[in-house]
Amino acid sequence: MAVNMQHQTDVYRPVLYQKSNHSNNLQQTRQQQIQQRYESSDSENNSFSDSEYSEFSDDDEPAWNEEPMRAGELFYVEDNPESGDTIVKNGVPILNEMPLATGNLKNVFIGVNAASTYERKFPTNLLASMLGIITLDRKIKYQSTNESVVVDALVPGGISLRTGQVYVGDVLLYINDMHVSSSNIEHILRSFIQPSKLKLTFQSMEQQLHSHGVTHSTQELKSVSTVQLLSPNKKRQSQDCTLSAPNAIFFLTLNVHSETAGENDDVLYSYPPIEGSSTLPSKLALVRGLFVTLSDVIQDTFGSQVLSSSLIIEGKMVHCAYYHVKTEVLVLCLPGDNYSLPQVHHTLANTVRLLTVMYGSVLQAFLPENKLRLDHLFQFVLILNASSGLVSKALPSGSAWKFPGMEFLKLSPDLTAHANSALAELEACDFDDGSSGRNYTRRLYTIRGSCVFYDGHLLANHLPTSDLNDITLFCYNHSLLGLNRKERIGLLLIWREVFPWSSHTATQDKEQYIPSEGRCFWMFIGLKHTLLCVLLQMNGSLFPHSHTPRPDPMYVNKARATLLNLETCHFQDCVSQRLLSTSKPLLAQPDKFLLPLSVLKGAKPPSGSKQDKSIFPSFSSPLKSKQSIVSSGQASPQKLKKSQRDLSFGEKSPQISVKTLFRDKSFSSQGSDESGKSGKATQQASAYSLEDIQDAIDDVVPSASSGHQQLPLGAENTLFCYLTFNTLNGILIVPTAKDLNTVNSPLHQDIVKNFKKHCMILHQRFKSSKSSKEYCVEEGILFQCQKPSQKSEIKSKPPSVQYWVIGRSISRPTPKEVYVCFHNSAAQNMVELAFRMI
Amino acid sequence: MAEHIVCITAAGGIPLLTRTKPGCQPLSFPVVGSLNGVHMFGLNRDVKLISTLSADHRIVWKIYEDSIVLIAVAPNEDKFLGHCAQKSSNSGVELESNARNSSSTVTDAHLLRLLDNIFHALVLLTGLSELTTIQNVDRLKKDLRACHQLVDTFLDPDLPGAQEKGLKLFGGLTHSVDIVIKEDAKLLHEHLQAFVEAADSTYGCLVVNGKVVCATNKWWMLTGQELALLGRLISIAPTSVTSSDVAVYLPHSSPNIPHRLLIFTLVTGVGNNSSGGVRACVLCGPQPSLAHVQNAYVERFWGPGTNTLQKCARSENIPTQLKSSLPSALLGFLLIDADAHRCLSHISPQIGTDTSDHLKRRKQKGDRQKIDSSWIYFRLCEFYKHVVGTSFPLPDSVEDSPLPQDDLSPHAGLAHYRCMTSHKCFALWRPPYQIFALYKPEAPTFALQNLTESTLDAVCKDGALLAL
Repeated sequence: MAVNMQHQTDVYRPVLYQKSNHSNNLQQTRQQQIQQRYESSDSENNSFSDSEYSEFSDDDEPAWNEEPMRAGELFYVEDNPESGDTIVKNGVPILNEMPLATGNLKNVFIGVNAASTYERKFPTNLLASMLGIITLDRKIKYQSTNESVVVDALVPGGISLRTGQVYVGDVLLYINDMHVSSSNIEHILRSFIQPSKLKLTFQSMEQQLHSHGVTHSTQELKSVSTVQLLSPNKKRQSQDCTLSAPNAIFFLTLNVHSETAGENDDVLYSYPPIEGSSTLPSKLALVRGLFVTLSDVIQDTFGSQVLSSSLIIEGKMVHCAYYHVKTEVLVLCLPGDNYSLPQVHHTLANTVRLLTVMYGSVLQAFLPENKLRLDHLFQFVLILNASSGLVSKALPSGSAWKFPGMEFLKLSPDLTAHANSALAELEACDFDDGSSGRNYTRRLYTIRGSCVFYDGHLLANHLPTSDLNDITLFCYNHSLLGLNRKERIGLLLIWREVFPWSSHTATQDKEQYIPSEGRCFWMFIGLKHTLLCVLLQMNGSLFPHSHTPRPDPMYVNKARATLLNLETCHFQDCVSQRLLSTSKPLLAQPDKFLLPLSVLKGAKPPSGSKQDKSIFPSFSSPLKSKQSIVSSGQASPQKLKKSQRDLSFGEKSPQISVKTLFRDKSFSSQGSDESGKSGKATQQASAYSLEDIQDAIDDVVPSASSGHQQLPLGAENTLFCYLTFNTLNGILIVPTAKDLNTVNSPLHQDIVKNFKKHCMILHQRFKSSKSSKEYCVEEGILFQCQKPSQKSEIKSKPPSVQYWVIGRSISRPTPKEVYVCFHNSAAQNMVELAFRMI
Repeated sequence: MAEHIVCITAAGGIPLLTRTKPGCQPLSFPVVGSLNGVHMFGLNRDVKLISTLSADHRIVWKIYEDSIVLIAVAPNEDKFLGHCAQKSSNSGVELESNARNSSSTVTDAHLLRLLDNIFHALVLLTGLSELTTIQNVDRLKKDLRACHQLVDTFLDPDLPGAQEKGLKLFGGLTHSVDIVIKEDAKLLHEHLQAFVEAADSTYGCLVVNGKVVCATNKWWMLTGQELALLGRLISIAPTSVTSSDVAVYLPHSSPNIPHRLLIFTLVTGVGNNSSGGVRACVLCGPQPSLAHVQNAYVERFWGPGTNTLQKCARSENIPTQLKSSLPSALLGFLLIDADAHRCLSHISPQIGTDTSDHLKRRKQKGDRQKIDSSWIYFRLCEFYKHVVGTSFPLPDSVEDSPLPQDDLSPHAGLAHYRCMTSHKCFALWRPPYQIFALYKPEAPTFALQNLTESTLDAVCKDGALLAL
């Protein structure tokens, strides 16, 4: 957290090998396409100098700096290596006598001052002060004197943290090839009586920690590599994503001189390009006269602009939406089987917004020099938004696009605080004298705000809603978030000038705060699963508008440091754990409610089995849920284990809060400590806690939030899906796409699909009724779904399930919309609870 | 409901019939020409233009029998859109408003069904062969003049107040015929049966204010659209007419051979209810003549029942006894029997119920004018359009739908509700019945389902109701 501050006030100033902090990363991470450049930069980096006090390679030319800017945009991507390749090959032979157990060995080079300089400050713990590594005293627990040195936490601003290569969970084996253990470590460190370079050899736990994340991704989208997907600069070799469906975008002009015009002169831009006449898009191109005429006639006759048309081509419904710019018209055609008309409107509105944000105006966007860039963009707009077919399976579903918001992840208070303070730190770097201490030039930029995404979920946001939506749109349409979800990015840097949407809209209201004029820039830094977006503003007009300056390395480094900072103390793991299971409302399997039709007539389904009750205890407080587990002793061990793990957080949290120093104190823990006292359950807990100790460390989920972790409805869990939509914070969808992949019940998936579809419809209706005097506050639909049966049994009616999809628009305290899908049997008061869950 | 209805020959693009809502600027010839041209341009390239949405209008096209194109222009139901679009012309930023336009495809479907109704109205009065094989355009134009009055009923009502006098028929929307329940229906049915037999026919019905009280079994064999159109046709005959004789081509049963529809006004409408009155109708062949039936049978068969008929003309859609058993929060309902193609509506306007609390009355003063019957009618129609087509299936139609069918989703909607600030509505589907109920905003949301179910039970228990 305090990386940036601390290195100024140097009691000790580490001497970093260039090798260790920069090129190590690059050495493995770059792939062939940037190999050449790498080799040149590598040779520079190899020559380290002791005198250079560098941090995150401030001074050398970063690799991205050589990436050419195209059309005012910098797009630089490094692939992440497979997590198995992290063995460091830096000329030093890997120690042979070391038993190669589970993890990989890695060497980290750091420079330290004399041990005595540290001792003066922190006499007690040399390991922490000198190397920035904190271990917990394990002697009590394990009764062992010769324990290996495990990195349990990293000192903020400490040298190990700053290398970015030491992770919590790593085991320190050797210092300068000397074997170390908890007993001799202090002694060894004390022996360095003068400033020296140390080679630390760690056994990495990284592989195990991230293995589950990797397995998800491998089957997805093998054909298109990350770099190709992301970067508009790389030529797509495989155009196999040709759009058979009637997707097309045209930019047509109305004033064509009919005498001199060629056949296609009225088409200023089209994607896909017009060729032949067999495909559906080219058929659409053939009737473009229709669009032009319609927009002309309706404008003249009714004085209003045409918004959309519906056509049928070869039996397929196509919706076309229009957007007028002076005498030009932008037409977006999308297939009707995937889109309802409001969705097409919405997509067009988003497209126009995106173009405006990226290029300043739609007209500007369609200048010929942007054509390649637009091709790339529209390919994504069309592919990503096609919600069926092979492609969408690989890419995340378009929920973020369809709902104007970002999926957010509700974190525990201290994690939120941590993320927010990290962002605040970054934004505050305007005020420290940072790198400009060297060259006394005026800062080019000020930071207007930032936000951070993890795995496609919004964690923290310091931006106004409008700016956040701009970023969301951009990320979504470049599948930055989807990629985040899929593969870990080695390093991603995007830099471009933007024209925030708010500056286009803010003119109406004079009361509104108008930010100062100036050019705005986006800086996106992606590292592994995390993506940091920063909105910078350049004050004054230092450069002509045609020139887009390159990003200042200082900001890039600061941002990267922020990400690295977040990465420590298992922040990511906490978040991903939270993503995976516990933070969200538990959902029930609809299959349990499958009943023959005849029973349903009675409208009262029988209560769930006992097993259900043990998984979904009747009340949400930890105490009560524990009791319910005790009472239903016959539940299978595996299930018990699962729920037990949830429960054990309360007990674990004090310990964990020591390990993660960034949190002052887990203030949430007291209450649940008491709750953990009930006899039988505690025994069970301890029985499992030994086994699951690693898991428990991963699952740092403070118990304060466990109040809403499990809020099943009534005696049984009748909640199927949940969606809350908050204009400020973004949206939460349960189950997530990842969850859904693990749900193998076709019925559940079916219901979720139907739920999402109707959420869209309801959302549109809420929106449209908002402006009229009498608006809609709640709308619900009761569905009956029959289980899709493979065997066509005609005699017996297939079992069916009845469920409600209800949307509610809540205006106070903050305007939001909540959509809930639950079984018909849910009691009214429980439904009310569900709406108040988050 | 539409603002403009245009009928054009597909081959030549000659306008056959152009109707415009009173108070609207009629479409000029070039506009009609280009609207038709756009559609034709697409057709020549295998592209079928279905509809177009502008900021404040919605236009639908449909071609019938490859010879007639119908175009309807309707005001966009989301009125505010027009407001937004004006702003967008200067700054181009009101994009969100485009996306706001809700349930667009749904209204497309409903508007297309309106076109179906209009086409059938044309067939009803001119015959299908006349429309498919056009020999003399001028003569056809003249013939179609007879349809003006009937087609005009599909145009938007001029003012909301005029609805008060209007028919308040749901038949066009639901493709079924509006009926009423009367205590004396059985008795009247016997009268009717005898009367129709005397007139040498098996098709006959008794209509009060455009809604069917009872009809012969054969009459009920007609399709829903025919029933609805005949009901409409009977009700638009001027009040002064005591009897009339109209040649009708039944659009589905006999589109090319005309029958005669004899209409006899038994009780003239009371007060300002212009469509009012009780009318007996017989559908028959060339015999007997109108004069003969009028003179020989009307007095003979209906004379004894005059008192009953008088009572009938005055009473509401449902018997008072049933009305009293309905929930007090109920403002109105629409009940559809999909199998029998009938719909029953009931609207109970809340007119200044005297509350003792002075303040309360004052507070409600603003709201009270809203809860008149046309407001309820409008809300019910709106709710119907909201629900049917998204969560409930559209009613069966004889025509094939121009919109491609969705693959049959296993999820069938059973109930749907909406809570607005001004009212709450609940729809329930219990095959074959669909009920759409409108409640006061005070009604608790969780009770709506039970209230609606009990309403449905109460009305259906009176069983005879939908059997006649």
